[in-house]
Amino acid sequence: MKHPILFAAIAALTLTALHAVEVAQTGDQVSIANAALKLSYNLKSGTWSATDLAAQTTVFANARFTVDETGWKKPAGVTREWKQSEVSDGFGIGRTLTITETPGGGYAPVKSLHLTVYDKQPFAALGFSVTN
Amino acid sequence: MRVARIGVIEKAAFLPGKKLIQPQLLRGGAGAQKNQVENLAAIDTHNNLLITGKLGDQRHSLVAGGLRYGEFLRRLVLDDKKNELTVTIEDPIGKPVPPGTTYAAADTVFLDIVTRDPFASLEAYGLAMRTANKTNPKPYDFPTLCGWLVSQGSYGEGRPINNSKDLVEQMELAAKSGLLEHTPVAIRLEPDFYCDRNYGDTQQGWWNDEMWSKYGSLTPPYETFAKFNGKLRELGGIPFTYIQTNMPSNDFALAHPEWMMGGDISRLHAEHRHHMPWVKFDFTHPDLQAYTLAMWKRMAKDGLQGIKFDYPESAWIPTGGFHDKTHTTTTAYRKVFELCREGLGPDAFIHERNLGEYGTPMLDVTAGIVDLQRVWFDSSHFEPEMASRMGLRWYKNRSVFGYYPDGKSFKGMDTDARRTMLTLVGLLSGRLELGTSFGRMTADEQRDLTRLYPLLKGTRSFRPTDMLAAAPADPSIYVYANDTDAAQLILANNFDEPRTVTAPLTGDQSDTGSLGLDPAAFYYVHDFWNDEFLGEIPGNGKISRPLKPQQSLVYALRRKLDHPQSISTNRHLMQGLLDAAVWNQETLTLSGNTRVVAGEPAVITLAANGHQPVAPEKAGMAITREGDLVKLTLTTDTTTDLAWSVVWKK
Repeated sequence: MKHPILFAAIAALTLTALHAVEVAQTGDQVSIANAALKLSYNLKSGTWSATDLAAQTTVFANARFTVDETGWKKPAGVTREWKQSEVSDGFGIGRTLTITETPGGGYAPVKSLHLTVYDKQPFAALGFSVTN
Repeated sequence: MRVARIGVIEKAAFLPGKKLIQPQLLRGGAGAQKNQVENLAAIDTHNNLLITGKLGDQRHSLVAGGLRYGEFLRRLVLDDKKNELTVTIEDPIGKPVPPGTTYAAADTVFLDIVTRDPFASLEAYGLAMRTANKTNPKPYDFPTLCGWLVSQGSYGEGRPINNSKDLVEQMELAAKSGLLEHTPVAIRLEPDFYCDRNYGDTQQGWWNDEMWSKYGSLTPPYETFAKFNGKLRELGGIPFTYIQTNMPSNDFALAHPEWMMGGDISRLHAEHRHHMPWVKFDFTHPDLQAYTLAMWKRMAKDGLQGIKFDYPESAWIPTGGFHDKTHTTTTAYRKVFELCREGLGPDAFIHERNLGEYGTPMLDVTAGIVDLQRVWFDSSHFEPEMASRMGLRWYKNRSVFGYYPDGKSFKGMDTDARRTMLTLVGLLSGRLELGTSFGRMTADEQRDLTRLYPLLKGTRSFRPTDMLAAAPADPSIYVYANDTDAAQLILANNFDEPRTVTAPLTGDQSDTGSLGLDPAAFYYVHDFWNDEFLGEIPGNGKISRPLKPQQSLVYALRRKLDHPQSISTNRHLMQGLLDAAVWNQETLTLSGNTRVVAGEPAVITLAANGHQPVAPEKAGMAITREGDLVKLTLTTDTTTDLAWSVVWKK
């Protein structure tokens, strides 16, 4: 007979793992996900997508992150980096994936897209920051 | 640099490789914006958005919109031709980011792509907005008599009572009528002398007793707000007044040109569109802020409890040019209301008459600052779309803002029309503004009015369950339920001919408009306004009611139990749902607590469910048997919350 307390503890750990937000990079793709949704950013193309994991459906893809851009300027060479941080606020515990795009030159801002996903929320919070 | 348009989701391919079947959209309306469910896949809107439809047999929904508001508005665009979704954080002039600095925006966007149930997703969004903006809109748990509305011949009675002396008399009449036994009453004095007269000189900017008296609003013996507010409060009233948001009086602008936009009053002489003056206050100027804040603090000290901001469009300045260059158009607009909130205090009622005139966007950017937004232009009648504008924002109503459809006059309303209006305004909104004076309100009108109070509290609102099934028509089914044991139902005939309105009790709510009850249960149904017991309906059945043209009625649905239970009261539109009776199986006793007004019998309808009542022993309680129903009548000499109990035998 399995030890009931140990069994319960393992089950709880499994549940926690399922719900905890994870950030991972595979090739050019960096993603942040919980059990329900996944947001993926392509560091090469500078676009991102959102996936409903239960339905295995990409809800949108090729989304750009722009600051005062309408799309007619030819993109200069940019570098893109990412970092993650923990967050704990009124929506619970989660993580924020920050993608920072630094222009290769010229008068353009350094811009960051903040994608926050919580362990136990079905929604994401999107934010931004800009360095002049 | 200034950053003005941030595309957090810019031109995304929406559902790549798939096509949403039967797409439907609901824009996140604010103010008087028309917002109905649209059977489309194309929209350009502010605030927030629902997109829902089917992929195969499965429903998919997306809800996105402003989460935390600070310095920017939100815009959401779905382009069906290009199949592109864009969500931006915007401001007309943007936020300055000085060289060598980083600006981390407080503004965020909510994005839910996984909750398939559009009702649940929108309700989660409303509560998330509440958390993010620390909103707590105060319920207007009283009717508000509007002095201006009553004074208008077209909307009210054409009696010039919009002055402090006559409005104190109105409060005296309200007290004499017995209305205060049911609910407090607010009285709003609107000092609205307009700038088309007197060389453009008005009260606006002066905001003091002298000028409010000069233009006829404060009249002896209440020639100060301290005296007016004090007398109203002494009589049990709640004092409200009114301000024109950014329409400075010419003589005030001449006295303080440095407080005007750009310090420029060179166009003060020029005629202008009514509430788009060339010369406006610059509420980013620290001296004007200090002056305005001191005014609000003085008004609070003088006993003011609520304010209406008229013409808020005048404070939306998309051209910028503010004294304080760190402001965006959004923060300069918010500052007007923030000063008021700080000065009047957290308990004050703040109302934004947000009509979007002159192409001004109707926005949620005041979330967490104001309590109430108006959803309709000046009116005193009622029509179905008024209910829709409020009802289709149920997920923000009570949790983020209150909404109301302007004042209402009983004139020209027969009993059915009056009860329809009271049902929809009372339960969907809660904020009732009156254009019928207390001296002229009939006993029947007053009795019906009192059925609204106390208001529904908390963050839950009536859900428009057939919003998708009925679209693009106005919803005809609204339900309020904490669980599957009890529900309060509004059925609305929004058409000009008689119709039978049908609501399934169970089934897919999005597809059928069902009430979300238990298919295995049976439910008693009781019509409130007609005090008519309609029998019982199986949980897998439907409720169908014939309604007159443009009539709405409210019904109690209560799960049938195996012991005596309360199914309705004549006291309140919620028919006892919020103060449910408790059954004790050991003593076979049903007990409850009901507010009973002196001289007005409160009748509670009980279902015997195979039991026999034993006459209550207390004085003031009487029992009559009507078939399977028992009517418990409670009477008192003084208004009180009366604890009652009825013992039964098998």
